[in-house]
Amino acid sequence: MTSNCLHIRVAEQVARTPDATAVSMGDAHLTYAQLEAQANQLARAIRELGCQAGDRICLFLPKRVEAIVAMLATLKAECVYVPVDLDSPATRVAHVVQRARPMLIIAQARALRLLSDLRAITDLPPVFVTDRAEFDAFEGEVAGDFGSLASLEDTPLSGAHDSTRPAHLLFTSGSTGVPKGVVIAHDNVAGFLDWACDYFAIDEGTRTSGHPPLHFDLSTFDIYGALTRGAHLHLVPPEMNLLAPKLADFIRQNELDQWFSVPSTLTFLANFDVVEQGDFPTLKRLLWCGEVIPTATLMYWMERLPHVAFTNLYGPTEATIASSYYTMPAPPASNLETIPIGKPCAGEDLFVLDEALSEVPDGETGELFIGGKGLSPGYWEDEQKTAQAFVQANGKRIYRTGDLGHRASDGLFHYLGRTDSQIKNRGYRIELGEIEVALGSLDDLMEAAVVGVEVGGFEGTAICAAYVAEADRGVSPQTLRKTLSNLVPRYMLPGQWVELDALPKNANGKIDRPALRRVFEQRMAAEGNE
Amino acid sequence: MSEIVAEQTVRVADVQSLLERELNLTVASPDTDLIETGLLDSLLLVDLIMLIESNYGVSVDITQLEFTDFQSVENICKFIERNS
Repeated sequence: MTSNCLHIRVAEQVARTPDATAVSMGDAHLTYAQLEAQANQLARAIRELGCQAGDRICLFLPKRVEAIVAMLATLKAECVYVPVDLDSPATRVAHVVQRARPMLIIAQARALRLLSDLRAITDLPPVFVTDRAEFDAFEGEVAGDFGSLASLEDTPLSGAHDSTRPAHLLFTSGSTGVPKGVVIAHDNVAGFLDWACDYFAIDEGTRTSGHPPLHFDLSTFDIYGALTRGAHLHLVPPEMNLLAPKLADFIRQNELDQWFSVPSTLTFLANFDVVEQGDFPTLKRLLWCGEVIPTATLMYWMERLPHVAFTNLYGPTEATIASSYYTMPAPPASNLETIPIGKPCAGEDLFVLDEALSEVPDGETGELFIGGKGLSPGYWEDEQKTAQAFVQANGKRIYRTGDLGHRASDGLFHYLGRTDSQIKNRGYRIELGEIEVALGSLDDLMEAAVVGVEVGGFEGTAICAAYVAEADRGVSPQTLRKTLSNLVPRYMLPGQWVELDALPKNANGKIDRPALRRVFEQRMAAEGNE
Repeated sequence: MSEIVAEQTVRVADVQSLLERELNLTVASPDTDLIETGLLDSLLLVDLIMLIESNYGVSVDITQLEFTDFQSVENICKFIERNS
């Protein structure tokens, strides 16, 4: 490899397989040569609009081939892309825009309403759109559209193309109520790909899935793992997640070699029992990351697909895609077995440390720290948070994950839960504090607290909210849910609500969260017995 | 209450208020695209199916379900009518 710059690696692959299909979404397909030409033209348009190296570009694009073109074009123009979750409320997206301070937005009609709502809250830069006619009603500045690209040269721009520079910013839930931006450099992604593309044997013609949303860290592996190796990336239409039989058909009909998703998706397919014995005959590898896979889910899949290799990947966004892996040697013997997070990927380091940042002996529980090539430069324009999370120990820069774990005597690492109130719900990383801050901002509530309660089996963690309402305001779980949905994404909305006269407090006067969890556990057990 | 006469036309307004009341799903109009707007997710769809089954006495076979069947409140009404 001559460069760690992702767009240069893709361009090198374009030269090797120009006529192969690079990416498909529904009826839309782009060959490697088409992808490269369109991305070069859009990169030129970006430059002509005055964007310079290091400038941020927010992508308000649904999961379509145009989004992949826009990502590559941004990198080719030496800019930094920020994929935006189009299903998030405008108030939350406004935080992202205000922090990222983009020079340009690239948008599709699906984002029209969100952009119009945003204009009322915050200043927006010019918007470059996929189709100008669809933006007739938009009152903001439209700087150009994809229709005008054909007149531009389709050769690459020159530039320094420094791989230590940020490639994208990914915003994740922040405990103080404001999402924080993780900076990911070209080198971070390239470092993971150097291990993963070989380990998972991604090659020309390999048919891979693109399942996670594009603002998810995991999608980075799908996109650049495929496009730097000549594979055919099959973006999975989000609506497939509504119907398990359709999602299974997608894997069958596209004859995928590799499937990569969060465990919740595997559980969803298992719950609807849509996987036949020996199903997906072309499938070679099944990978998951982002949360703990329920062992029952894994047993379901492994029993039915003996021809497939199953790999658990572990790692937070701050360490880029994944830092450790464990390929199952055999199906779990019982659903009480926990699945190891394995050993570090090549180029990565994993440590179990105590509070003084000293290594704990094998078998003892400590906090998991990560070092190595995937380590992000830090949080975007937030030195304080960066200094708290990225620390020095034994001369190495390491990231404090907030995950508890141990290393077993066989050298394999195991995940044992969280040190704080972060939870995972359907692969989404959720700081319960963010929901609590949002509830705390409501005038109708005197107090509110949010806890996660393990519900066991396939379902994972339930988000539970307890509140004390001001008198005579007509507050109910329905009204709160509705108000809250304007402040946090839908996947953060609590599923369980309880109104109390006062929140339980411990001796220090702080909210007694274990007691609160017991309240919900009892209520949910009672509901289950009805 | 759940004894709905089979021949009766399923009223769009009824379904719309049912979704709002039971699922907190508020739509701008009966033809709002629930999929394209991201209003529906897999958990909500399961709740929606159960709601339709219990309120309209229809039986939904998920393996036969098409995206268009629940793409909008209008389509949900048509689906209920077809399957009543």
